[in-house]
Amino acid sequence: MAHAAEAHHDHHDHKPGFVARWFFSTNHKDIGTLYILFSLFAAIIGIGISFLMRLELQQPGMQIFADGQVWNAYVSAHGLIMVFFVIMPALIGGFGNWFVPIMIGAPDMAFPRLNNISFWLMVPAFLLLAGSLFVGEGPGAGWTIYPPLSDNAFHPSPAMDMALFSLHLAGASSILGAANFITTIFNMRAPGMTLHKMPLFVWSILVTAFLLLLAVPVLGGAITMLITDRNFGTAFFDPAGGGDPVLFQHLFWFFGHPEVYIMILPAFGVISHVISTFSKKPVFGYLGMAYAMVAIGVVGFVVWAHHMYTSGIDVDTRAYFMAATMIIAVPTGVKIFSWIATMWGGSLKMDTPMLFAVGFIFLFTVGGVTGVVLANAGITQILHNTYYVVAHFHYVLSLGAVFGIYAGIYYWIGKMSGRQYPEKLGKIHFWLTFVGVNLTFFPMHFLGNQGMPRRYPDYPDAMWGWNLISSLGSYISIVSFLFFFYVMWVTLRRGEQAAPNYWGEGATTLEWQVSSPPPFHTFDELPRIR
Amino acid sequence: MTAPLDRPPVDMPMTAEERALFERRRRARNWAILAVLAGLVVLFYFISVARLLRG
Repeated sequence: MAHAAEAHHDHHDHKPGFVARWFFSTNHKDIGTLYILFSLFAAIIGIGISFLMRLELQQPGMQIFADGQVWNAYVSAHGLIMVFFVIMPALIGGFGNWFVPIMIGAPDMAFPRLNNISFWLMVPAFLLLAGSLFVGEGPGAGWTIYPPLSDNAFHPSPAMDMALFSLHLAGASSILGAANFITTIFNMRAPGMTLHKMPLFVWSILVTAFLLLLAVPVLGGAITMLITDRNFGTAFFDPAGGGDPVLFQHLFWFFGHPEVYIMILPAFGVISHVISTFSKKPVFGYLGMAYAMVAIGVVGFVVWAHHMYTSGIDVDTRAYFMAATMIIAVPTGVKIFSWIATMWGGSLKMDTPMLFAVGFIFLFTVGGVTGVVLANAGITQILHNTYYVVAHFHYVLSLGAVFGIYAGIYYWIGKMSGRQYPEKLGKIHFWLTFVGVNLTFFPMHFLGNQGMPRRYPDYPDAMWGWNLISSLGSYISIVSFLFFFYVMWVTLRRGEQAAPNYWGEGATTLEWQVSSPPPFHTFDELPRIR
Repeated sequence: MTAPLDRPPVDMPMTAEERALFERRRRARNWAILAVLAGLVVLFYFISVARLLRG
């Protein structure tokens, strides 16, 4: 192994030139860095759009957007950007590429060139989606792109085709990445690194990769048919030609629900490491934690129609999907209680990664509880497509997955960059974010209960109060996001040199055995796990 | 600690021949796994389309 002291003098540490290193990179750590930078750039656009949306909703009437179609296009772009170009690249492409090979003792990913292609497919995918906002009427069918709204009749310009092609490219990138991760984890582990010794972050990426591999081709099939409906005269989803738009919903959600777990499972992995490290204890119930993720992945494939309670499916089908959906609360509960049990009696240190991890547990639990409410087919007749749903999925994703990303960045920034963040600034960032996002999204529960529908740029005066508070919260969140860039700038410019294991005895996985940052080729000798 | 790693890992030195053989076998298994996964992806893609073609 390349240990800390010898790392910088090691002959394996020579790096290629700038262009070869960053444009033709086959090094998992460099590609991970590219994914994280890409994700941060996409986040500026995606969060910027959400800022415009909250400006619009700050008071009744139309303020910013020209009309409802422009609003719909931006709402759709916000959703697609945050899902496909922010959360997934950061957690899977970024942290996954950086740490899966190191944690399992592999020299790199199984297919380094495939890894490079996976990343570079994301760039045209993002450009197509961002460009579609400026073509015709924009892709205003929501992130779910349901026909008939996404058909030629309602979206005749090429904007929708650009968005669909963007999803195809992003999907291809995800599939290639997933195949690479599965192969790497199954076949590149160091001797002695059995499946039951793998760190939980690696388990989370393994389960996520399987979800991607099985779910994304279904989305690919659905949008291929949508493209042929739009451009080649087929009628897969057009009732006039014998098609059925509800079938698109089934296909979309067969992908879309596992997609939710694709976004949150890697965050579960990050949080497990952070909680264990800052409690100075092994994680409680390691095997239960690993197989809870497997269970969430499996059950996540058989609950898709809970997104379609109001689409006309029969009552028995709704009863099944309701029961199956509630069952997911069991393995999720196993994880929540195991994290709490890990902290119980531990020597807790509330540094920034731990603050984000504890914040994650609280906020994800709030989102999970409202998820159980929404799992009820009867209640969803009332709450479907209201702001209650918007509040729910932002608590799970915007506050859950994003807190996982922040926890991971603060936990590993010293390892990735060799520079440690300033603790005080990190804590300020946490509290700004925590206050901002809760002020933004908690009032949305009340708006949903009042019946405010999602995807509308205007609302009755009676809903002004909570909307104002929500907008003010989003401004605080924007400030906290900008502050995060300041913290990163300070870290990279003036941060203290990070030791190989700067978290001490609680951090025991393989990345803490190598220098910070690790040498260009991490392991010059194959490590054997004892 | 998220996995039962009780003791730090040790280096596993190999001769050049052993290493070449190890890497060749690993590469062959990598391609075999990739082929199976690619088959799964293609199968799922065409099942999604064929299911609708049959109505």
